[in-house]
This record gives sequence, C-alpha cells and structure tokens, in this order.
Amino acid sequence: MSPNSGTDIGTAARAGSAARRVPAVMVLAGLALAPFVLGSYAVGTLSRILVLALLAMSVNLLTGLTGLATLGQSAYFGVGAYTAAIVARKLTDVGVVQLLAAAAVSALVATATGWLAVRARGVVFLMLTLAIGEIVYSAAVNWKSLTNGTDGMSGIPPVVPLPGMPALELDGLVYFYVLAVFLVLFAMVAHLAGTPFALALRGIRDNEDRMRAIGYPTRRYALTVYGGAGALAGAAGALWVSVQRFVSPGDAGFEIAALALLAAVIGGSGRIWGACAGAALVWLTRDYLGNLEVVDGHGKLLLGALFVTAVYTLPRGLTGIRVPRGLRSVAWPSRKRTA
Amino acid sequence: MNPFLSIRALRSGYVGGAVLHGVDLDVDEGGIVAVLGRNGVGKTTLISTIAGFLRPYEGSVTLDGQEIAGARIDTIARAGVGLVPQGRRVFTPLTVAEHLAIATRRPTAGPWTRERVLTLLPRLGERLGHRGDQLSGGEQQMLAIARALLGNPRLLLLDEPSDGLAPVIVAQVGEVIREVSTEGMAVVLVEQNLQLALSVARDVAVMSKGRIVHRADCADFQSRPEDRRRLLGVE
Repeated sequence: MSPNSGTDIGTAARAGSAARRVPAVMVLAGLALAPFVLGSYAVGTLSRILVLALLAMSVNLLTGLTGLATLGQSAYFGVGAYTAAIVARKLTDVGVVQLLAAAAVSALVATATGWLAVRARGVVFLMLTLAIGEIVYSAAVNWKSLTNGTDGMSGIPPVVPLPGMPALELDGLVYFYVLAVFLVLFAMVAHLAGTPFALALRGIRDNEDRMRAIGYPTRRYALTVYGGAGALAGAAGALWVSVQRFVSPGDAGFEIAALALLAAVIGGSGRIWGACAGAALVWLTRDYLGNLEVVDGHGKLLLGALFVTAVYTLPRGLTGIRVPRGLRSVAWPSRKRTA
Repeated sequence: MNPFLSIRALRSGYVGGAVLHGVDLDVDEGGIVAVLGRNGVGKTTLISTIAGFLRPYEGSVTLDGQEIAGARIDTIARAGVGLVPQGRRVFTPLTVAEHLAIATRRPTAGPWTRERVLTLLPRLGERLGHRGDQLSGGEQQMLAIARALLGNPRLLLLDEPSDGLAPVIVAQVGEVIREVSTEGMAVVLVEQNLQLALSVARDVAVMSKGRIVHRADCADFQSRPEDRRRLLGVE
C-alpha cells in the first residue's frame, strides 16, 4: 500500500461524490432554462409535472419510506387545491399564504382521517385510503356552496408569490414560482429522509412488529408521516391551483390518486428523485405520447402498458436501474480510481 | 423478596386454540432461567406472550410489580422488556449502524450505550456499514442482541439464540448472556441447545404440554440424568 493511498482513495471518493451530483446539476440547469427554450404549452406541462412530482413524493413518503401503499393522497391534494382556491378568491392572492393554508388544512384533514387509516395495514389500509379519496371526491361534488360542485371553481386570480410582488400572468413566470416552491419542498423532504425519524419509518416498513418490540409506538409514527404527507399533497394542490387557476372534483378523484401511486411505483420506492422521475414519465406518457397521432389518443392504454412493462422489467423502479460496469467509466469518468 | 418477573396461571395461544395452560414462573433480578422442553410445548408462545405479541386469555405477568399482561408490545418494551427473537429478525435493508441508531433513539436510562455494546460485541464495530442481509448468522445474532441491549431492558428474553450457529459463535453468545446478567438484568432463555442453556443459566424450567412441569437449579438438573432423560429425552 502506498503511503498516499488513503489520500488517493479520499480524493477518488470526493470525485465520485461530485460526479454523482453532475446529473442533478444538469437537471436543475435544464429546469431553470426550460422557459427560455420551450413553448407556452410545454412550460405549462412542466409546471404540472412538478406538481405531480410533489404529489408522488407525498405518496412515496407513505408507500416507499413507510411501506403503506396508498390511493388516498388525491384527497389531500384536492383539499389543498380547494383551500388555496377559496383563499385566493376570498382572502388573498399571495401564493405563500395559499400554500400554508392548503398545507395546514390538508394536514389537519389527513391527521383526522389517518387516525382511522393507520390502524390498518396492507390491502385494508389501501382500501381505507381509497375510501377516504372517494369521500372527499363526493364532498367536492355535493358540497356545492363551498366547491361549486361539478362546475368547479374558476375566477381564481393570478398568484402573487410574496407580498409586494407582481401577479404572475405568464406561464413562464408561474413555472418559476412552481419550481421555486418545488425545490424548497424537495429539499425539506430530502432533509427528512436523512433524519432518525425517517430511519424509524424504514424500520416500520421492514418489520413493524420488531420496531414495536424495541419500544416504538409505530402507529403514532405512521400517523405523523401520514399527516406530513397530507400537508405535502395539500401544498401540491395549492400549486395546482396557481397553475390551472381552476379546480374541480376531478382533481381530488381516483385518477389523480392512481397516477401519483403509479409515478411512485415506476420511479422506485424509497427514493425522492425516483418519484419525481416517475411523475415526469407518467405525465409525459399520458399527455404527450398519448396525444401523438400514432397512438390516436389512447394515452391511458399506453400508461397501462408502461406500468406492466415497468413492473416486469424494473421491479425496483427507475431508481433500481444500474449503469452496466462497462459503461460506468463513460457515464462517470471521474469515478475511476487513479491510485 | 418478590421475584422481578412473576407469571401466574398464564393461559395463552393462537386462534386455533390455547397453547399455554396455566404457566407459573418466577425470575429474580439478575437471574437467568433456561426454559427447556421438546418442540411444540409452548416455549416460544410463552416468550411471545410476555413480550406482548400474544394477548393472554387469562393470568398475570408482572414486571417488578407492574402488570404487563395484555399491554401493547411497545408499552411492554418501554416497561423494560427486551426481546431477541427466534431467527434474529434483523432489518435486512438497514446497516448495522442504522440498527444501532434505531435502537438508541428510544433509550431508557441504563448502562448499555452504543460504545459499550460495541465493546462487548466488537465484530459489529467492524461491520457498521454492512446491511443486515450481508451479515453471517452469528453476526445477525449479535446484532439482534445489541438491538435489545440498547433499549436497556431490565428483562431480556432470548428465543433460541443458538439456532443455526456454529459452536464457536454459540460459546460467544453464552459469554454475552453471562455478561449482561451481571448488571442485574433478568434473563429468560428459551433454548434447545442444552449445553448452552446449562452453561449460562442458574435455574431451569422444563415445559411440557403448555405447563412448567419441573423447576430446578442447574447444578441439580445436571446431576440428575434421569430427569433429563424423562423430561427432555436426552442424557
């Protein structure tokens, strides 16, 4: 062993760590430059993908991190969207206020409904969350004095990100607002993933009984993350309103829940960026590839095929993809050891 | 002096029917009781009932005078019961370091710290970055013991800790059990390996058909091969 081999290995490790950041930096740069090179529709689509990515992240907190597969996050997404819409129409057009109100109300609703849901596990939990989603959907349809029923709520003013800032009328500016909020929430979830709380959630996912035998009140942990995931879904709902300036019961419906779960599964459970990549893939497949002439509007069929293909070929989702050894030096040249 | 763990007329079992039919057992502070018996007599059911995985039909389990029968698993754990389950049941995707972090996150006051556990089980210190499923059976057993100790239990339940381990590892497990009992921790050891059980325990309780049918101290039990033959079918 050479005297400086420790230094070499340390240098290589730092270089490897830096190399792993390269894709993230490239994605960030791409997201920042997108409005300057893409048209209005594509920018709007990107905004919607970022919103769905946040929703998929909230699903991932439950499904990937804690092992609780859910079909109910659309409920809290809808609650957040309606809360933001009501705040925007009746109180203020300041985006941060809408976001905080949406997150708080959604967290409250999630904690109240989660109190019942987290008593179950597996298929029963999944069915309970599906039922919660359907209840919220029905409320959105029938509580006309609050939601305007199936007509939905329109006339939502353009969002003002912070007090004193101008209202954002252009799609590109709204996109930057969504991107900024997305990055803040992404960083918060990424920070959470490194905490002892997240470690305990991983323990619950792997063997809940064992965690209880160590002394963890696992149901309390599950309820806490359920409420937090609800808040995240609610914040995503508020952003949805900022992008669409319209909200209807469909935004709280089964299809949104299924898309979010699909994104989390395809992305790969347990990794935050996987949920985001899954969201992008799902949305682009449904709304972009699905509208190509060759597919003739059968986007959902394409989505189903994508899901089946992903399940069979990528059991660990997009995050489970490994670059073949022979290509690693091409993909990450600086990871190659020099010592 | 009242026993630290006191079990009285305990009946417990599964949906299919009762397995324990009135178990009485006492364990003193710092005492090690080996629960022996043939397969299917209810040893693991007894451990599972004490730890809260099974709710007893009737009877009582008191820990230092506090009734714990029928309480929630996490409540029983926080009351001071540590469990090393059969088959180890480590968290396979988590590293050794993460196991220790999880176990130390809910500490109760006591002598067992991460550093002390790693001193007692130095092999774990060398494997901190390895996942649970990358460990050998012996290392997994040490990890399961470490996980239980870091909760600073006052009663340690060990269910077949020698199961599937090499003799040299079994001897290490025995040393660890002896070491922890010197701190005043009560130990209930369910074990098929008679050599290990008799080398670490001070008392023996033999089960048959869901009851404790024989109590003796280890020296007595070892000096009576006819009892071992009659109760366990071994010399």
